[in-house]
Amino acid sequence: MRRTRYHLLGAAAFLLPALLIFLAFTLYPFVLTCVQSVFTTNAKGDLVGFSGLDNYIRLFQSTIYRISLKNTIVYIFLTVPGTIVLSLAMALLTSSGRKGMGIFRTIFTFTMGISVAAASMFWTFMFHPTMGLLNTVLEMFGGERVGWLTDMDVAILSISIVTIWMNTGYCYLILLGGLKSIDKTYYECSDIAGVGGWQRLRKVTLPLLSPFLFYVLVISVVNAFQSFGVIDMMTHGGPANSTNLLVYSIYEDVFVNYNYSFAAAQGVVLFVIVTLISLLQMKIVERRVTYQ
Amino acid sequence: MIRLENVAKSYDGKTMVIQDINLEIKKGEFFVLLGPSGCGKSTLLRMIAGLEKITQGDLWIDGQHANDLLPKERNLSMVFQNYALFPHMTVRDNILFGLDARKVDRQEQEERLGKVAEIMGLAEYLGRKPGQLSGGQRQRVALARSICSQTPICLMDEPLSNLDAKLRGQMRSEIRRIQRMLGLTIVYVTHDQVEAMTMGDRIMVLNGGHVQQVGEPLEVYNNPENLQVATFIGMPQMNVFRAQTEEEGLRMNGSLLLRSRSGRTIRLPGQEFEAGIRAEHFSQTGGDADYVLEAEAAMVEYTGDETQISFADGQGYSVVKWPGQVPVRAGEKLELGVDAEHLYFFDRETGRRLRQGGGEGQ
Repeated sequence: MRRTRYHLLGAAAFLLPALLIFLAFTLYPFVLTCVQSVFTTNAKGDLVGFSGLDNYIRLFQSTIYRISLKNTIVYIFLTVPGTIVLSLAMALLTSSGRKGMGIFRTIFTFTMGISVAAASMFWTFMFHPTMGLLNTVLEMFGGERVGWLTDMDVAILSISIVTIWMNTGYCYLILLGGLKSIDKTYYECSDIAGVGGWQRLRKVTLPLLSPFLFYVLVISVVNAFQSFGVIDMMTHGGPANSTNLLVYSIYEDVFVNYNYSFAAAQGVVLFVIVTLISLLQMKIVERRVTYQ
Repeated sequence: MIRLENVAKSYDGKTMVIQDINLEIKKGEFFVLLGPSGCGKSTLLRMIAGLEKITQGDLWIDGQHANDLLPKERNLSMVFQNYALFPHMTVRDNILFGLDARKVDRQEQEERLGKVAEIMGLAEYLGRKPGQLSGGQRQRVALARSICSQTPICLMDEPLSNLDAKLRGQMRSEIRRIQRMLGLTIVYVTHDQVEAMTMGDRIMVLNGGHVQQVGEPLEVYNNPENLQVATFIGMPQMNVFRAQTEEEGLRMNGSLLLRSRSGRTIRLPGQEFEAGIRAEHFSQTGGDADYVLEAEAAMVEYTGDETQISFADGQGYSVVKWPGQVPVRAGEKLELGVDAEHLYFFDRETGRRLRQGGGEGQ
């Protein structure tokens, strides 16, 4: 008994630093957000009066919020498959031990070392309507200029391209590591059985890679929900809210409109959505994942 | 069925890991590649499978020059040491793996599956995943996949090394039974001499990338061509002494005397060589044996059906093995008999077998 207590004390001592950080920077803000969301607040963020579910009701009546929700869904459907397919293709191409692949591995991962700010600057130049590389090339081949960041229908696509470009490096690295971890006797077995090419990819490689694909999927979806930097740097949610995503909308309500409690309600809803989707992924998708 | 001519393998183009392999494996034969780890036996098997390039020499499979054939074109199957079962597929899909690619129609696949599952006793496990099976069952699935492919040649790379001793014994006889029943040609890689002795129609002993000896198990056991084969095959290991001929017999390790009772002298080219005696070839009394050795028992071990006695031989310890439970105490003086036919002689430099009456080897 005494021994157990001693052990517990020791364990607590080691856990304390992490626990304090968690309490101060995760749990406390989370609880505060939940509390704020059922109150009204003044411009300084102080609680003024209890308002029940008013903030939530207003939220679902808000057109801008509904637009940002729709944008976020579109953004997820563009960036998640885009990132995974691209990084998977790159990983498959460079996973062989062929000579010279090291160079490509470096090139494919270098975006990991670039900050959102730098990437956004770079892509803002690329997307520039008159001097940008993309439009210059389009015009060279007789195409028309595209308003990459100014056209309401195109802006979300442009933002997605930048996001894919930013995230592919990390996903690529994870998937490459996954491919490398697959025991080579599985491939030898396939070679002898005559299972090759597309069949081998579908029946052998992808199922064995599934834990890594699943991880990349969950991370990409969560990241997409939380995207902020690129939008803040490149479009500020525009034009006409066409790239206004959930987190950006929260940011605007807090730091532009000083509407704290309304933003808090959005934060809670976002938390619920992300939790539900993650649970859903674990329930449905993870059934098809085989851990070795 | 499989023919290798002067086959050699090098990874870096300079040092050969395998050299001068000449071999013909007959149809329906159970052929064992035996050797210590790193001797090149797996590499040789993988060259036959097409998983490794052949650096030099030629490989023929079923009369066809096979050096440049893809693995799938060689019409063979392989059982891997780790079984290579796909964790995401059921036992059924694992067994049928590759049959679609070989364009075997569904009905035929079902028939084969039914038969193989019955032979291997897997019928009730077909819906399970490999993760839910025991080691022995996994082994059976790997074997079933190989059988289901109905290829005439089956290559096995240490298939039993992940099993416990009891199961290994069972699977040994089971593999042998199925091989006979289906008339498969099996090339079997192992470092376990018991597996080699009990399963093989013929054994090839490899060491350091060179063929040491090829022959039937008992032939290799009774007539090892060199010291490496002699000491590698047999448990406990053959006792080896540094020997010198003397008037009275043979002086071993400079101390023990193997006394000749008939007065016959051992005639060998040269005076110094290695002498080998298997543990079970020492008789319990000098009796009417050709040679007698006096020694003092250092340690006695009983396994129940056998008695093993070790004695100091001037270099280390040598071992005597007798059937049954022989009452001997440590410290007791022993008079051990050895017949002339059970004395093996090897050249000290080359390790090659020396035979009495002059001449080297056969």
